[in-house]
Amino acid sequence: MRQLLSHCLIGAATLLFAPLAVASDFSLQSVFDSLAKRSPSTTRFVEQKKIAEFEAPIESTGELSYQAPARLEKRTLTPEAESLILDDDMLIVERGEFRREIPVADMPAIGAFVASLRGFVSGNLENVQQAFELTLSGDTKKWTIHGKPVESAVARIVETIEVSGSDGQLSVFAVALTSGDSSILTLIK
Amino acid sequence: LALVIAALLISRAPFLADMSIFLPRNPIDGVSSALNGRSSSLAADEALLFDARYLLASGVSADEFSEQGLRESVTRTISLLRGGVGLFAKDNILRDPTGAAPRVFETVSDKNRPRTENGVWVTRDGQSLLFVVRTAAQGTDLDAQEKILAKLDQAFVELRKELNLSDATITLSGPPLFAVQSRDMIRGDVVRLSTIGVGLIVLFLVFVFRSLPAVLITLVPMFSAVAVGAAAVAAVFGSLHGLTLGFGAALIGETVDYAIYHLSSVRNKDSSTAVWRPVRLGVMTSVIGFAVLLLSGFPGLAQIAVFAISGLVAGYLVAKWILPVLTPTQFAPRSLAGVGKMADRLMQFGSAPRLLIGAVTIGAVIFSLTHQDQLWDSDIAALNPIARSAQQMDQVLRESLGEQGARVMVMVRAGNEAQAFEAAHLVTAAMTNAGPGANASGFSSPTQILPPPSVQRANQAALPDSEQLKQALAVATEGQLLSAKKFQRFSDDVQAARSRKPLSSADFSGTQIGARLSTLLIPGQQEFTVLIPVNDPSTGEIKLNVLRDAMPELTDANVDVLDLKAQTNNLYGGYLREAVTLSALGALAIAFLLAWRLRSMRALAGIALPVTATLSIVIAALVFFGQSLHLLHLIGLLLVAAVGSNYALVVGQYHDDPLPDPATLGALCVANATTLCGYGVLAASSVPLLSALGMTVGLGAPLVLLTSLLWIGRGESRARR
Repeated sequence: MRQLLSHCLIGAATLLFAPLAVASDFSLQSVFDSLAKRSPSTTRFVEQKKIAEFEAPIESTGELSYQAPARLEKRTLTPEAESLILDDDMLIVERGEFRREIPVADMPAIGAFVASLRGFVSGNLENVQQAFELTLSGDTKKWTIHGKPVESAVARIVETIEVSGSDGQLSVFAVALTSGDSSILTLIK
Repeated sequence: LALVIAALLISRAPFLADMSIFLPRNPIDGVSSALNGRSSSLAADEALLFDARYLLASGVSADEFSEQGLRESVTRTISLLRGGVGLFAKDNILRDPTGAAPRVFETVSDKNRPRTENGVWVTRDGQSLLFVVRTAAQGTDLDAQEKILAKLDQAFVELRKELNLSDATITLSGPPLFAVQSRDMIRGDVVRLSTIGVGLIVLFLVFVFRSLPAVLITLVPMFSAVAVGAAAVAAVFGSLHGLTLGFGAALIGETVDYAIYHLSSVRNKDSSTAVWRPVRLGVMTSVIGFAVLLLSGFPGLAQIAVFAISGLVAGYLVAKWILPVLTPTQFAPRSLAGVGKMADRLMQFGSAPRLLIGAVTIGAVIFSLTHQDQLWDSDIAALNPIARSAQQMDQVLRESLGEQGARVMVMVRAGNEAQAFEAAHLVTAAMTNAGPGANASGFSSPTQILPPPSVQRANQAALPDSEQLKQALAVATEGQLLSAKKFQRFSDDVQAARSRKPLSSADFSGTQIGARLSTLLIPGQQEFTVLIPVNDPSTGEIKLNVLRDAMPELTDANVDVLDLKAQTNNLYGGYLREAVTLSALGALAIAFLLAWRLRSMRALAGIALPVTATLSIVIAALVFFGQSLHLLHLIGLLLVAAVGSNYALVVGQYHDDPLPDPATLGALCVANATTLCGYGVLAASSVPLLSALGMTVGLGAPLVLLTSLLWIGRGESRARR
């Protein structure tokens, strides 16, 4: 009986302080939880790449689609069709006739990039944290997450990732490389 | 080198992805390499392959480096750089515009790689992590293998404690484990069953003699025989196989006979040669029977022969010459006449039992003849002491590793590595053509990974010099988004490749590819062998003749297409046939010896007929109970023949001696029972070799005494007594 009473009390207290708790609860976990809730199946994107060898930035457009539990497809449509698929731990590259499957473990840098993109799209924090050490700034309305590679094989090539969004909406996924090159992926609502 | 496959059966496999029990942090002594699919171990391979791409790649040609060819390459490079992957592999893409490296990776990559989760190998069901451990010790050095296996187990137990994973288990499999297990099983069974056998014999002797001195006297020749037999084998062969000891330990049952004859002669106060004459002849027949096995090419049979001959002779000599010295002068052992009376009764039936024995024997022979296909087991697997479940587990793990069965192997031999690779390259081309027709489409040739020097030199010849390449690149990059100077490192790499020494297998040492190559190459002083295993087809059989006909004619190399299973079974079948021939010769030798000593065909027939009848019945009985005969059954039969002729000699006596009195018959029965104890327990062994021996002798020994008694005991004997 006493136990029941104490349960009731705890329950009441939780109800009372619930709004307060949500307001102060802004963490990586809460951001990813909200991303997971609104995980879209298909989003269009514009990608801007800066590569030292080319004078002008390279702009491409396409679609990003996610299928639970573990398949992300980054399909570039212009200027040249190409598909980059991460299915479980297999990376599949398709360019016209050309198709190659490579275990993610064999391509650490691009593997970390695509896997963390999949982690953000699906709202899987653990997945992203396997490859990047994350820091959060901003607030629920407008947040930014910085990531530094965990593994040296990735760090040789990737400098940082910077991802921003608002609420459960992912808006920009940017990656800066040690070579000075970069890619900024903007997702269109 | 020997491989151990370890599967960590862990209910939470993903959680344990970093559980590398073989990490350098605490390396295990005696392990030369441990792989679990971590990509870092591939790094050495990738750097080497990329570096040597122009020598190893297919399709390297002058066309590829022409202005037109390079223009296509530059266009493709730009498109790759702008694509999804290009950003992350920019350096390599710019260094390799012709795409030689991806072509190398494609041919070299293992198509049947294990399933990977979180970067490490797992079994097909994803429930266990997979490791491949290569031991540094020789495969035949079982002591070293045993130590390494124990260390692996221990490392796992420690790690499990450290990570607090009480529900994790480890399964080891592979040839070293099986070899060590077989040895342990045989050793364990021999020790356990011999102890039980000796215990039974002692109990039985105590029951019969009710006298400690009598029992002790009986055991003397037995232990002398084992000691001398073991010493003789060790002296001749350097080592004693567990099986030989198992056989030998059971042989002690027969040497107990000699002691019992001694005791009955003490009791009868008759130490004359008359008592010993049949025994001596029995020893001679046994020695001759086993001497034939010395000629066998099957390792082990000769050991058994040496053990049996030296042990029996030692047992006989000790019983004849040393026991009288050890026996107290006033010693009066208990009479065995009581036991003998029962045997005597069996001899009273007159000639009727002969008809029965004859009928049963004819039935047995007919049964064996009609079951000829089940008579001999020429599959060497029949001798495998490893449990079927362990063999199946091994199969499952191998499949998880992507290892495919390969019954058929093409073997290319030449004077040195370069020649062998040149020859293997031609063979590989021929196999590619003939593959579909021969139902042999999948095979792995080392030349697919490492082309022979001639191919590598042809690739080098196709590469332009720096001036030519510079001009061609200038033209090829005209009007393109990338200028020629961006390809400087490509140009440097091409120049370096032109003067590079062609690669040999030694260049791959220490890499994963090197490990794969080493399983297909057998270097030697005089000869270098390249193996090309052909994957077992998913349906049907490989057409060996088609494959053989397709092989090129080579002057400086030998090419053989081998069916491994058939070869092994042929080899074993050869041993089996040889053993059958030798046993028949042994039987014939025994018959000649008896004929010479007995000087009477009638007396010879009196001994040979019950023994032959028994052997026929034992064979039929074994086949009837689902035992196809193999080598050790044959040894058992030989032993039954030797023991049996011994019995028949004593029962029938020879020359003009009277038929034996009940005391002698009693001694015979007791001796027979001890033989039954010694061998009968072996039938319970889980090692097929030991149980086959135990069953044959356990069945044959009592039966041969019974048939001898029934056959020889005849009506007139009573009249004569």
